[in-house]
Amino acid sequence: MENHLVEVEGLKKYFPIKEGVFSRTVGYVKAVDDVSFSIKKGEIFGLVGESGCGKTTVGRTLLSLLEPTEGLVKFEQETLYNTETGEKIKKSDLQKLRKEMQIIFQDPYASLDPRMNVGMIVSEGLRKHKLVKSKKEAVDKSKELLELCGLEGGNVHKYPHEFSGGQRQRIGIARALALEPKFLVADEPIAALDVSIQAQVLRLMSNLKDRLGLTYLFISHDLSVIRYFCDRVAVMYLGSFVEKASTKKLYHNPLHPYTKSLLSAAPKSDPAVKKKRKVIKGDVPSPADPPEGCKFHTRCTYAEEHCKKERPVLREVQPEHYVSCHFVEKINSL
Amino acid sequence: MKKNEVEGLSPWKIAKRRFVKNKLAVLGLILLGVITLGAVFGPMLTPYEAHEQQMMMRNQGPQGDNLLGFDSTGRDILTRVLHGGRVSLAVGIVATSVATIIGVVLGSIAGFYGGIRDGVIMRLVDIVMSFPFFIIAAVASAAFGPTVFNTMLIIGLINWTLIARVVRAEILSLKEQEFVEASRALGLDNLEIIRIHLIPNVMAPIIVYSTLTIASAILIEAGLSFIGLGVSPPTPTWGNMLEAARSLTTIQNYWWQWIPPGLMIFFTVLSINFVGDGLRDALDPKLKE
Amino acid sequence: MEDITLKAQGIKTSFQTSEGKVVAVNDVDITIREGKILGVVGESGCGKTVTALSIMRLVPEPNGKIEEGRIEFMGKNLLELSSEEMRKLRGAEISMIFQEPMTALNPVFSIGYQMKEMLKLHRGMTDEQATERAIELIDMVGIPRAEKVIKEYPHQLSGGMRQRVMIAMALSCDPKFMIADEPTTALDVTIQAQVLELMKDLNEKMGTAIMFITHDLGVIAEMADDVVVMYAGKVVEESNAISLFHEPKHPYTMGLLRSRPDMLEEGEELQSIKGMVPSLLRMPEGCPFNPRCEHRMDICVKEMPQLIEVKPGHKTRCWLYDDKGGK
Repeated sequence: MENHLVEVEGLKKYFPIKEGVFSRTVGYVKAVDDVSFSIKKGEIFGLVGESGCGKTTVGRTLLSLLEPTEGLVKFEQETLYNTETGEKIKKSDLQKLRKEMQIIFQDPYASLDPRMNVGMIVSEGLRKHKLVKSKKEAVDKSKELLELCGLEGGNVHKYPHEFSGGQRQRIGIARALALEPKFLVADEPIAALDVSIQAQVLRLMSNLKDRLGLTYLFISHDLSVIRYFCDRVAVMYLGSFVEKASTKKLYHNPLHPYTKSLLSAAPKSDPAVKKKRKVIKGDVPSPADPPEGCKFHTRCTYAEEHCKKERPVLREVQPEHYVSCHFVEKINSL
Repeated sequence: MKKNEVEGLSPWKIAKRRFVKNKLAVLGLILLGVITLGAVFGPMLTPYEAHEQQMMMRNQGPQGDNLLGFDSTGRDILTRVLHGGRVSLAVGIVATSVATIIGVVLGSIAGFYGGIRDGVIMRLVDIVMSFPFFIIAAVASAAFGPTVFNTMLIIGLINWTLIARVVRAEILSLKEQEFVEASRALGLDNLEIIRIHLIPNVMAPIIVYSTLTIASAILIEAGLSFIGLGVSPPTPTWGNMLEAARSLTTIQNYWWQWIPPGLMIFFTVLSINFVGDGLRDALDPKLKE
Repeated sequence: MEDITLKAQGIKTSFQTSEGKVVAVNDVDITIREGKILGVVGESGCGKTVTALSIMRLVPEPNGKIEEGRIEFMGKNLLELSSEEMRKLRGAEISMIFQEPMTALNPVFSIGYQMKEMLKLHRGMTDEQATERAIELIDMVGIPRAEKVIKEYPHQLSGGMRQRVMIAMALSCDPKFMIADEPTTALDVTIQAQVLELMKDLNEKMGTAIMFITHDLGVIAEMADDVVVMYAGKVVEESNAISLFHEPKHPYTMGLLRSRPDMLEEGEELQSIKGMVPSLLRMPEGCPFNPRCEHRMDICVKEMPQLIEVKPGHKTRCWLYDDKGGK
């Protein structure tokens, strides 16, 4: 597909569980279990789900920080991995590609090296890829980037501990932008911040997108943020997509039972509004031992015998609206 | 720095400030400084040689120039204490350097690569730590000769385990930190990550534990020399000077022959421990409010 | 006049740090109505947790100290009680649950053991009575197969279940009042919904008043009858929940409401409050919010505004509403 920046097909990432003195593999944590999607240039694609659903692993795999167990991952038509044909991108090509895609992390305290000053942190990529010729140039470029992200350039010699959480997150963004990437994976970038700061950072990310023409994969557990920020969104549960659609369609017309409960579970915004809540029972099963058949059936109010046996596939139920459920038509009276 | 650029407060600067506020640590540092200066320059200032024997002054107490009297063969104790300081400190420092290098290298490999390398190295640590140390040292000393060099080597080869474990633990936790992943995403390879990110962050515990290891090395040498292994006479070390105290007569009648070296060991080890503790408190990020 | 379960007035709690004295809670009043839920909302450093610890008299010593204040509960002033008397109240009449249930539950004892200990200690039950009651409580908080669960250990349960166990333990002695400090912040959204519903249910059934501390306005909208908004150690707004959301008075409250994407209308831009929460060591002069306030006036930088009743039952601390401010 021409204007698709990122293409993912049949992505699987299994982590072996090792036990015993000789580290025998006794099972697998199926963190990502057959996921397919593509992201258009200039789009903000959201990945939403609760803990253990695999969204972070998807993000890491796209950036080649993790290697997929199975599947095809393409960036700008270049194949990063294709387990079927055994293709894997060459190291030298990967290095070049690294400049095109970067990541913003969740934890503003663990994502910056405490012993490096902010200028060195931000310019690390530039120095590694030899895009600056002198130390002075590196410092100047760092100042520019800091200011681009709403910080004072004069702070370039300060150390991470001298900044607040929100400021550190901005430093992380500045670092990610240094190599002028086309694609950014934002892994819960505002989850660890105070509410009033979350809005600041979101606005910054939105501004940068417009100014620099960025494409985002936005990973979050916060539905309201995804709704505000993303163009399209996929809902993940235990490693698989249960629903995928434009944000508008998903929020106005959620079709999968899990999506419905997720939306229903979100705390309301107005105390005066009486919310009809659909609280799902039970806890999330372990990704090392997911249920047979449809992984959601143990908590689904609509589950039938068929659901326990056969795993549903993600299919287009309405135009550009994909759902993975055997009885989606019945449940929604379509 | 240009005009509008603000100076940063690096973690090292913070550590220095904290260290300086710690009175006991500063005291230890001063004391250590005095002892070291004494050991380095003292021997050059005394009129006597360490092995110069004046048979007529055998077992004589402190008098005149000889502030600490004479030993059983008429040698000036003060001179020997100063020379002994050189040896004891040198053994402590060199042995610790050997231990630190081995410990850092093995600990880093074990922590960073994990897997079978980690397994093998950690079992090696377990084995070395279960050695009946003194017996091994005694055998080695007897086999290779009780010299300064051998003593340094033996102590170094036994003492690296603590540092290895500490380094391994730090690296294990550091390599999972997001700033390491960020560097990978930027394109840095393993060697660059180790050099630029991991080593600077491991320096703090290395410094603390090496310092404390010096104290332990000095004590071990003293012990070995005391029992006749380690460094043997005529080269003086505080440990083998203490050997004089093996005789009850000496203990009762000639206090100047054993108390001075004993005190030197005590104060040196004490001040190193103060400094080491001070360093640990200063460098430990967990103490940040 | 409604019944008041707890009335805290003028609480001032400070800490000695290596860089000076920090006043974490500065002249704070908290009123808990009988059987109602009070939401205390604020961001990091606003003093909400320290306020709760002050009420429970669990402020870490020797660095922390409750310098001033009066806390009326069950006809006594809690700040004047001896440690022994306070200890008898804790767990029995006032209980507290925290964000991380693992830190409050002892990992080496079974759930049942810990619950029974509390029941035997505070309610003088026998082992049999305590076992029965423990099973009842675990059942009440919606954990299936209670008889099996009481034999299990904390690490065997999921986060949501552990939080329910915490709630069960907190309510085991039927206290008048429970403090919940960010109890659902660490939980997934769907589990959070379960736990919140449980807490609301128990509040209705057992009539236990709750002081619910959180930074999440959505949870406040869900749970609270009354709300107190804190900033930099002071109460800046106080009212019932509906009034707070529909007619916020203080610029900080308004800023917080506008910062939430789910509070926006279709197509509306997300607003944010500029600047950041001040360090308690370097508080600005006058109103603590003034550096970030778009309505800042001259007087705001000089003098601290007082908490004034703007409407019946709705108070705020802002010069915009004080005649002296001369709006």
